[in-house]
Amino acid sequence: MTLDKVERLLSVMNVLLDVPGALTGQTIRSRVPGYPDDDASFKRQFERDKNELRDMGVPLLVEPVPGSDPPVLGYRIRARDYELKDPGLEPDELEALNMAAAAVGSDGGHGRLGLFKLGGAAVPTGASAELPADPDLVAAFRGVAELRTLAFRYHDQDRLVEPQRLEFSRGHWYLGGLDRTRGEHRWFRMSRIQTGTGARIALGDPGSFERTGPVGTPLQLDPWRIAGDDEPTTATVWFDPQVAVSVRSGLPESMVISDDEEGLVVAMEVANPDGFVSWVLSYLDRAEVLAPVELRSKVVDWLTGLVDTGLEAS
Amino acid sequence: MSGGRIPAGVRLQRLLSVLQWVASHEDGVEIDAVCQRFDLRQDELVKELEMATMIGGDSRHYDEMPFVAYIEGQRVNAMLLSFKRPLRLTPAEGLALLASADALLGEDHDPDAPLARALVKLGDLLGIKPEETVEVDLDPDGGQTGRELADAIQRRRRVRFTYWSYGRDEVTQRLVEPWQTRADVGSWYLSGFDVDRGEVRTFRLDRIDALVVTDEPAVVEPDATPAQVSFPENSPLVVLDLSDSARWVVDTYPVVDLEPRPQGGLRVTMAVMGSPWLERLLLRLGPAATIVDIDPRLGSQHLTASAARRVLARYEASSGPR
Repeated sequence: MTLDKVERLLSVMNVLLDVPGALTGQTIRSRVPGYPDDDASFKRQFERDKNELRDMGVPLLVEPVPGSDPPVLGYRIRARDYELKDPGLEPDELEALNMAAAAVGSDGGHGRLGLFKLGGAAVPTGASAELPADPDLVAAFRGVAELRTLAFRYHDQDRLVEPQRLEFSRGHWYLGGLDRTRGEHRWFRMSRIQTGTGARIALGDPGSFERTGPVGTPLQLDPWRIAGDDEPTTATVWFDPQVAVSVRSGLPESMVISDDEEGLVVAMEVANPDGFVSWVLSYLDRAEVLAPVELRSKVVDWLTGLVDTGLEAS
Repeated sequence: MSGGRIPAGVRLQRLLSVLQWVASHEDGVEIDAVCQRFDLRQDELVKELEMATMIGGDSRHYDEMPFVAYIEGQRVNAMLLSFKRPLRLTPAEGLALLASADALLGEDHDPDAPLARALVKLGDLLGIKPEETVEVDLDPDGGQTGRELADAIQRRRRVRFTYWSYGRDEVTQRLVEPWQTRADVGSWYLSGFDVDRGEVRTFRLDRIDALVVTDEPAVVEPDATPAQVSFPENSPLVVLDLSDSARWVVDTYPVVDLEPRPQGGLRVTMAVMGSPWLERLLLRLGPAATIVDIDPRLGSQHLTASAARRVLARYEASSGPR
């Protein structure tokens, strides 16, 4: 008889929870009904079950089975690793969390699973807002929560970062922390973390730095500032009247120099010239860098390079 | 949660949650109340409880059965011999809860509000200070434009606005019967019936300008389909080779097809709304992107160079730094 998978997983947990010493795979097999008789099939099935349990957060310990000689590895679950500390949520607090999870969806329904554990009710589907998935977000959060350093590649450089803060703003996740490579606080856009050899983010050991409390600069999302390493320079930029409203909606009023039928002219502090050029180019010929000459030349050189590459290719 | 296939992990968590909740009530709980709370049909609940009470039943020792559960009259009763405490949260679950709670709390929220208190307790559980570590700014109702549209939707009024279509680089006047606003990947969208075009359209709120809620009533029945940013079926396609540094493109824009290249980087196929959108992307990526194949409706293999030449012309025409 094939046994319900949930029943099998629960049985494995039941057998292993708080046993005094680790049990071998074979012992587990003999005490949990529903595993295949064939050895190879059992091994495969048991592997999958272990992974599934770990994904749920079940802390499966692997350690030598007491009295085995030569030592054989086995499994157990310590109650103190398994059990959730009582957060002491009042009914109205739990209800508020339930409503928050219902209103703001997250990838993979993790919020709903978390609520089950906290004693919440089922969350209706159809959230009005959805936070986008990011493959490295959980790793980054583990870094923040467990004080693990994060190693990753960004702007073509290898970084080693003490993560302090995650922010979601204007549709993207950002990671803030001390960039050890540069000895400075930095913000990184999560979706711009590059692929190295293997996982995008490598996690260090827990407790590998001290929590310092709020430090560093607040998140500056503007592309001409974020992750910028340069001394800020003031740039003036012209925009076609057709796009003036859209440009102004993303800028503070104090940056506007003039806005009339000739177009919109703004002054901005640029700390990240590459980000600045990329942002200006997104307006195609509806924008023009007026000053300073270095930034204007940077745009012209970049475009000239693209025209030349096109000529070579044809 | 009824209907559809539910992953084993979710079912398992839900079952433990049901048992723990019922066991916390000495006299049991009405079946209907359990079903409603956990979004289960009665037959599903009965099946899950029967399964739970089988666990450990093969054992020679009665004390290896972790749960006792039975239905008496219209009440569910449960007693737990093991699994008395819930399983700890995974980092993914903790983050999802923190993020959704933080998204709903405004910047100057009342620290005594239930959600604010819950957030602090959640932080304690995870060993962090939420206000120092996670911040989610979703602009819960889409700003002033979102609030005005919500009012128009509720009163079933047509709206007029100026819209900058980023993909086509056009500014047009629109008369729309607004149906729904929705946040997706951090931006707010309006879906509704575009009266002049006679079609359902989606608009990004931050490209809407000069919004006026008219006195004209909306007449078309709203479609049940939720707002989605989708491409028409015959959208022109472009195939690009991207170097590793341009990988963010596939995380930022929808792609039709994606394959890694043996020498590194990616080959992506993207549906494109209009050439201006593609030109912007190509100018920003520069040498990090190469056109492999392009629909003639979008332009030629030389699209990057021709767009660069056009923007350069503006710089050459003006007198230089002013």
